[in-house]
Amino acid sequence: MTEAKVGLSPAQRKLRVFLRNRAAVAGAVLVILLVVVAVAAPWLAPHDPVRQSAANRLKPPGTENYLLGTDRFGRDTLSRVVWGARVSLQVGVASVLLGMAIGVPAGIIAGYKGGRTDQVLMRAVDVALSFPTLVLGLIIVALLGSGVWKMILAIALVNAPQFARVARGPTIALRDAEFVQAARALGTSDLRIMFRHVLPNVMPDIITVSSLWVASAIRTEANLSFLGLGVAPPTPSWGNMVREGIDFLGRAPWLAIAPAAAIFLTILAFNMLGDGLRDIADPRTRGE
Amino acid sequence: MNLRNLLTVALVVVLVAFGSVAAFAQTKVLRYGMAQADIGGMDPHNAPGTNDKTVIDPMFNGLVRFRPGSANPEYIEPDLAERWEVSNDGLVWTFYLRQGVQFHKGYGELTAEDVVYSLERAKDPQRSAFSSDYVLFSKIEAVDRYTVRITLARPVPAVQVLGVLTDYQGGMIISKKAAEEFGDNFRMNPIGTGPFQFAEYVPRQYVRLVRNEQYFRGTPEIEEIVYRFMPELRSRELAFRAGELDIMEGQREEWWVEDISKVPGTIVDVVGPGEMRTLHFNMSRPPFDDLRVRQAVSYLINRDEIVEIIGPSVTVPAYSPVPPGYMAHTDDVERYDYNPQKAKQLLAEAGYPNGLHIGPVIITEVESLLVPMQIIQEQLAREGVTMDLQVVDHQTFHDRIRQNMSNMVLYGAARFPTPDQYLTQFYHSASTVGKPTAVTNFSHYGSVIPGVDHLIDMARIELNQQRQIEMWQLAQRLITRDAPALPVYVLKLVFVRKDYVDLGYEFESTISLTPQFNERTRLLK
Repeated sequence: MTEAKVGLSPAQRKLRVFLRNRAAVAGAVLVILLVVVAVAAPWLAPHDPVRQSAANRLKPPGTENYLLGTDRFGRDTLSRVVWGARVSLQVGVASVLLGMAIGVPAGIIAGYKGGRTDQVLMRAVDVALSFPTLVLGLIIVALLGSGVWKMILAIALVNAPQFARVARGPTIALRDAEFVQAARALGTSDLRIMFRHVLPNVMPDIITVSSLWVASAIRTEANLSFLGLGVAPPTPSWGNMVREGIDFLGRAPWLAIAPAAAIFLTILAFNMLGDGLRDIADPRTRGE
Repeated sequence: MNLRNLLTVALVVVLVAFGSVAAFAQTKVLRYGMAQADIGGMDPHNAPGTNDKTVIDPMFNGLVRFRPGSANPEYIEPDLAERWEVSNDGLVWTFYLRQGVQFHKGYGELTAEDVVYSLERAKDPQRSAFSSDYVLFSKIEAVDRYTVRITLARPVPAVQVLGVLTDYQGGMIISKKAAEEFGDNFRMNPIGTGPFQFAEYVPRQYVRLVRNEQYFRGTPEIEEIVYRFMPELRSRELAFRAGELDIMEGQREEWWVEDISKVPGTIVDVVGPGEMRTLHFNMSRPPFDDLRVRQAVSYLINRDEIVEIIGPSVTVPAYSPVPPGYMAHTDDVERYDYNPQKAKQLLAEAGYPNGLHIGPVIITEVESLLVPMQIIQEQLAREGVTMDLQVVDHQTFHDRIRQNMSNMVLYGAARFPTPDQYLTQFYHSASTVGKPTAVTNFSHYGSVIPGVDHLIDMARIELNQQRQIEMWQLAQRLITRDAPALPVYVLKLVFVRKDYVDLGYEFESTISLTPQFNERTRLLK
């Protein structure tokens, strides 16, 4: 630790902290791999994920060119898992970004303005947070209907209050910081202060929790899809694959196990990555 | 799951296992695994759902009945009525009741009063879901304590009178005294004359019936029937394999039937009448207002492939709007066999040379409809015909298709095995969804284009059976020509039982869509 002190820029130091956490590195590698799989799905998947084949129903893994076997319609499990990565990542990332876009400004405004604005916004957040995530998601999906974008919106609305809370705390601390007071003395508008000066200082915390919440968004997507409220057929998502596979546990266990393993790995990867990012953001592990 | 939860679960499992052994060892209990999560009620006149019919079936009798194990109207036999007479003009039917038949729980002897009360109730739209079956009954009266006289508005073929007097739906005879005493609560206090009587109902868990010691055909061998609500196939199957169920509703797919058949000591019954799956095209708006589009989509659906995926042992391809096996059914109709070339040509003529988007299609999450719909979706997609498939829960599906929200409706149904109910409910303009008299005409056939209302109405009251059959067959031909709907296949029923369950009859078919349990049903163990 001692030799790291001299001649290193803050960015290099952060990278070093991150690289020292092997789990975080493994998580990052897995996440990158996942993104590659999702983006390259059309080239990676050996078959069309929705193409049915009556002659190749319920083939066990390893048959001919079906590495992970086929389902009751003769669809290739591997191709569906690969394409399912798209839906899961899309939902995970888009819903967290959208939730961030709604929640972070709300949290900064609440923390910066204080007083009644803070009261109103934070009570609303409390109410929203008092519902369990899945229940809130269920209500929203029930009202909006199902589909990828509706589900993204539902999960974003579930995440937004949590982001608001994370953004509010540091904002309160920064509100009276010297550089903010200086900006105010120079006549900078509140809006400019909030977004030019406060926001960049809040972002490290936000990014850290984001990667954890991507994992939980993916899990929520899988849960909603498992309950039949997710992506409409024939689009494969890991959640609806588990749902379809569950009846076949005795006959064709791969149908549920393959997507379940994919969900497990993805959540694990984002959690490990999140841990590493937290190490960077946390001054105690920063070695400062 | 932490350790304490784990222990609790283990304890419950052990208790349930030992509890069931201890409780059921001495009594002869038949344990039935139902595929439904609950029942709506046990009033036979207000129970349109299969789940309700299952539980109601052993509690009631009709004046006549289908021979146990059969749904063939040729084999209708005496039940509460010992015999009957028909006047020469065919208008007056006199039924002579069996004497000494007792209602459950001391509600007294069955008399003509009860029969009159029951049939009046079945005919009353306020109190019955099946009132349309009895519109021709102009007078129902008690001649004496054991004689009932029914006067018809018009003479109709015998099968249409006896059919609605069977031990099915509105034909079930209830106790007048109990019905008046309980009022709306009769649905939870059913009193009939059947071999089993109601004992206990625990919502979302089970219904328990006990035997009717005074049953007029003799005291049943089985002492109790427990209907357990187990909507999850896996849990039902595990309970069956573990010996906690004696009989269960199976998955109506061949892969499953094959698997369960391999379990030692298992009998699989794949029986009729089976529910025919028909794809109804909503003609009230584009694109299905165009005959060529309906024909094209019909030509794109490959029945053989659907049958292969779901399994030939549980499915029968269907071509006519009247299911195979029904009276007057004919396959001498226009057949839409898989023909993508012809479909493409028709689509091009209709102005869709580059594919077609059908729009919203709503389907239930229930697998016996969702699975074929997914196959159809893919078959159409191969040729560039796409849809927005929305999967919803079963009740929402039933609501939305009746609100005309779906451009195609895949629907499965079994009806009384003559064409009248089927044709009336699905193809008569009066049954069009949205109308006050709506039943299940999802295509709007007869409403937005001329249909076959007249033929259906005429055939219903035609006394000459040959002419009646000809009319019904003509209706089938005209309907397939206009293509308001595509009959796809019949899905048979699958029940699985332990080999020690002796139903007491040859099981071929069941009008109430459940195996009938009667005084002869035995447990050979």
